[in-house]
Amino acid sequence: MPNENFAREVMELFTLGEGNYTEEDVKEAARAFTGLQLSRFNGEVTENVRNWDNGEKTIFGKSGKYKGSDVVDLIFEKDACAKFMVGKLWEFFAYESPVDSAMEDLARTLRKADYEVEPVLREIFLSKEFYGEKAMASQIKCPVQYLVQMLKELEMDTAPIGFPIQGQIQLGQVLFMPPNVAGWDWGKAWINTNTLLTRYNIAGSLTKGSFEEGKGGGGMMRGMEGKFGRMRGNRLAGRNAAGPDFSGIATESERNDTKTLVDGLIVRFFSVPIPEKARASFVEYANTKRGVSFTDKELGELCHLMLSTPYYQIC
Amino acid sequence: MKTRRDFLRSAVLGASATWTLPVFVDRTFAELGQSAADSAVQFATGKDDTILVVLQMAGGNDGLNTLVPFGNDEYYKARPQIGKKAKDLIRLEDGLGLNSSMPFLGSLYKEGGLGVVQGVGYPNPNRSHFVSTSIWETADTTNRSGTGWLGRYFDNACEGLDPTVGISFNKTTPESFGAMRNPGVSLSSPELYRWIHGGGQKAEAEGFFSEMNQPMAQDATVSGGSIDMPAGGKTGGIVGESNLDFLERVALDAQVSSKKILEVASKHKTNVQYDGSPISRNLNLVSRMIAGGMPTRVYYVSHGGFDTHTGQVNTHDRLLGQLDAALKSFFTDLKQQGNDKRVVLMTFSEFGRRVSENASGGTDHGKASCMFVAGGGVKGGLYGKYPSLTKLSQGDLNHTVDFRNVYADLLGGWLKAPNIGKILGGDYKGIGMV
Repeated sequence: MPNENFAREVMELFTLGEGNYTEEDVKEAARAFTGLQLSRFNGEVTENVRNWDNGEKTIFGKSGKYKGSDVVDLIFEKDACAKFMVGKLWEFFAYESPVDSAMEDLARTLRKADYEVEPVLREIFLSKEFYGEKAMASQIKCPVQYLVQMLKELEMDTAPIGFPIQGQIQLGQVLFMPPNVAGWDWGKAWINTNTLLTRYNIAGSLTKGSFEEGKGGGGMMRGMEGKFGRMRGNRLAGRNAAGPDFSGIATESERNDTKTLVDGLIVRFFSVPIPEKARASFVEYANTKRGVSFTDKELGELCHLMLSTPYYQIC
Repeated sequence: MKTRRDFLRSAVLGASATWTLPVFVDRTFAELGQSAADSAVQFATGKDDTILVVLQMAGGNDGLNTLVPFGNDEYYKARPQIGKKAKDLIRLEDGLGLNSSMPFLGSLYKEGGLGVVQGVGYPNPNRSHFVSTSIWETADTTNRSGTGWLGRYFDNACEGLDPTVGISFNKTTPESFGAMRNPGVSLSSPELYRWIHGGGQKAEAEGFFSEMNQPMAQDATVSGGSIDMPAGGKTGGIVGESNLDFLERVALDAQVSSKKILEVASKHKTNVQYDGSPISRNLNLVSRMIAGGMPTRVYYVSHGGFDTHTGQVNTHDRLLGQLDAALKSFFTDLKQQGNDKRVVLMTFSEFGRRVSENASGGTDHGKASCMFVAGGGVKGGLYGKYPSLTKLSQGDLNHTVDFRNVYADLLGGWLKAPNIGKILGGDYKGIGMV
């Protein structure tokens, strides 16, 4: 019998969802997919007729001498397929577990457009629900969004050496290397006690840069010396990182008033409202830090504190 | 009893800021009712108690090439290419042999320290990795439970709210830790398990754990298997939390557990050699936690790559060999510590594989498989009945033992949990292994 892995996963994970096909459908589809070949050099998929099972197959109650591309057509004719796909889009852009009826409406749009995505995206982005309370500040940033956004908010055009890959590894999302055939688990799966502490420490290594002279770049950078030192001999990764240019982040006059300073940073870092108590604590922290003036080093520590909060993980 | 969230809400600010400066910590705790603070940081009382280590073999381990019925011709008929020859096996009983990549488990069996459960599964099995993993992790065959079987154990059988009652070394929190009150914590490197702020707080645990902080092949794609470390489709946490509640609670759990884990991890140094595989590294960490006196009752580790649809034999043997080597180091280490009588390790996998090999020299998703239960507290030997190789269900083995009976054994017999019925959602009897 042919390997049934592709037939199963294409239905379960990418088009129909579990429960919308039978075990017989999987076995029969696997027969239809025989003869498909993938070139490892250029990624091209071809049909090798000599390896194809040319017998009759029954899939979703229909029978014929199907080949692989026929199975794809059969899948896309099923209502479950459009519904599954709009559900994925909605969860990515808005929030998890949307109501069923709304997804059916969107699925109709997708089918009507013959699976062209633009009309359904337009409908999502122009819907009232998309701007509703439930869709606001409801998502947890994925590691890549977290890393890229933080660099941008700190106005760093280039990341420190090793930072992008090390950040991805430690936070659990290495681009082009999903953990399994289903891709990454999203949302809450990004966060546990370990990855949350790691996010806080990555924020520390970025905001403090070379001020710590290689010490406080902290755990992450120490980890990196082990990992990358051997690979490319840059055991100083992180140590030479300059950190953000704080002169562009807060002017001298802004630094003279801690409330103004904190409020400016809140606008910079948080896309969602944060509790008043948090703001008060930031201000208090800034006040205790403030000596004769507010130096870049102290500003870096304040930024680190603000980024080391649950609120910063939300968007 | 105050929940951890009550504690959090009564705090001046979410966890992260409370640990930034001693002054914040002082003030935060001073403003709390003392009882709330106590319950949130009260440590579990299991310091000298029994410990369960759950080891996931992710991707669907082929029970037939792990525990091989070499006395049965049907086996060789179904697997002309990938079948294991009798001479290549470690003989356990008449007609039954262990894959020779596992010499340690073979000798443990002979010493009486290894229980092998044959034909484990559950009714109406599901062949999806993700659904079936969920079923094993929640112990709910209808796959509707929001909590995991270990989370329900933490909730129902463990005093206090110490989050370190369960520690997972997975990338994502296992679904089995999902709970109503206390879903445990996740860890990857104890040395980094703290908030590092400013140059003044150099690591207490620095020297000793730096060796642990070496590069690992953890993120390398495992060849031959499309499933490396599935998280089970869902993530363990507290049921019904909003994302912000969830983040605040995790931040507090991290804070509460950080200091303890750092302290404990630095206490023990082993001279037992562990090899470089991720499973070895993680079991090494578990042994250090145990040696250091963590009150943790359940540890969770994963070993991935068992989804062997193509060219199975080499991949499968290698994975079993890595597992065996890791277990050998782990149990040797525990023995040296004098903790070997306190620890039982259980393996599980979401399903076994099809009896017949496929045209790619591999096997497809199947049903029943085997489990190993190892350690000082185990009455060694074979449990359950090897499934028939002729009376199949859609080409797959029918189970002879329900996995919840194995769980019942470990919960009741080993962890001494009262109320197993509540944890497992039914009256499951143990199988007499511990």
